[in-house]
Amino acid sequence: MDESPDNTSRLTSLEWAAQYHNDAVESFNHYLSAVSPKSLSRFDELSGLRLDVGLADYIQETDLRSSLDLLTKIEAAFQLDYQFRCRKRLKDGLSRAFRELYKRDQRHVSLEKDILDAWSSHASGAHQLIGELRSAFKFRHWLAHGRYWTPKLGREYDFQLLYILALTVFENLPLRGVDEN
Amino acid sequence: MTVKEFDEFVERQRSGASNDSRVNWEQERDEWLAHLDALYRMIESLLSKYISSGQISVRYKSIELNERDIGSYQARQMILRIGRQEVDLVPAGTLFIGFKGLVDVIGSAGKSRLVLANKDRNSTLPQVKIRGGPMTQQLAKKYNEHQSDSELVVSFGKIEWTWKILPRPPARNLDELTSENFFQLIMEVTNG
Repeated sequence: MDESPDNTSRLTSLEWAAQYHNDAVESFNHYLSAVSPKSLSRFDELSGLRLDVGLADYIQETDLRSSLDLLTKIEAAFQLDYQFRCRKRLKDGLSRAFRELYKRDQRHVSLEKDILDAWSSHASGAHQLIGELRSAFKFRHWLAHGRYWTPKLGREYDFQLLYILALTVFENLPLRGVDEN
Repeated sequence: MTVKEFDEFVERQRSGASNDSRVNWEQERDEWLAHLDALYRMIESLLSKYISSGQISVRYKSIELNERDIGSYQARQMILRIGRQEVDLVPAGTLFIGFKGLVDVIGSAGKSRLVLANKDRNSTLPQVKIRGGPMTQQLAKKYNEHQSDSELVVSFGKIEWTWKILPRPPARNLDELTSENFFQLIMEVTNG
């Protein structure tokens, strides 16, 4: 297994997502501040307390949307790595396991059932990280499918924690397939 | 859903439970709660001048946490009252990417987060080594013996845990929890 594929573009994309998230939160802070003319015109009948509740809701919603964005980046990284290893017929154990999966299901493999299982079995030291990813992807399902049930996650996720998870994955797992032909 | 798929599901869950059973979760919970008490004592000490003069009041309430491997348990939430402002220190759980505990600091203007981290860890990125191929027996033995110390920091010595401030992404540097840093954090979450 290649230990050090180039992950620069993945990390840049992650930093960009963080910058976008921070700017979005700051924008709402200004837009809905008590002295903002736009805010006054929208909330002039409301008390200061009600205004705070509105701002908190907007920031919470922004956090959820940014969290989903991070989780889709992680999912895409694993899917691209799977496709690259199958296409290039790499010789390491993980790539061989992926080729067996490809013979069975081609591109229709499940991230949690198939790809993460293979990583857990073929990359020593990754077990705990993969376990954390499985848990985070329950949150991703809830976000991506309309949030119509109460998820049992065993932990509350937010943008800050998911950013650390994504960073740990991108910096430590030898994910292939970006900026490689 | 086929029987084969169900068999695979059962095997995945069994395998995961077996790996996790090496960790003494009750001990993890008790250690984390002891560190939480130590944090509250430290904060009361940092604020002692303001508490004794009545400028800041402190109270606690019990909240329920529910974590995947530990289940449901009670923890204390610290509530600081500074004039009209209230700052809550809310325990958010234990063991996440090498951190032994997380506490959210919530004020009227935002949220920050404290983490219980390896004293030597200065970055949000954990020291984790992931290799291709099977783990050697010797490495696996060491890893299994010590993984209850931390999920990912495969440090084969005793870890000294310290409370630090988690930065807002994309920053990575973990700052020590000092009186100066804590005062600044309080002002940030209250827009002071």
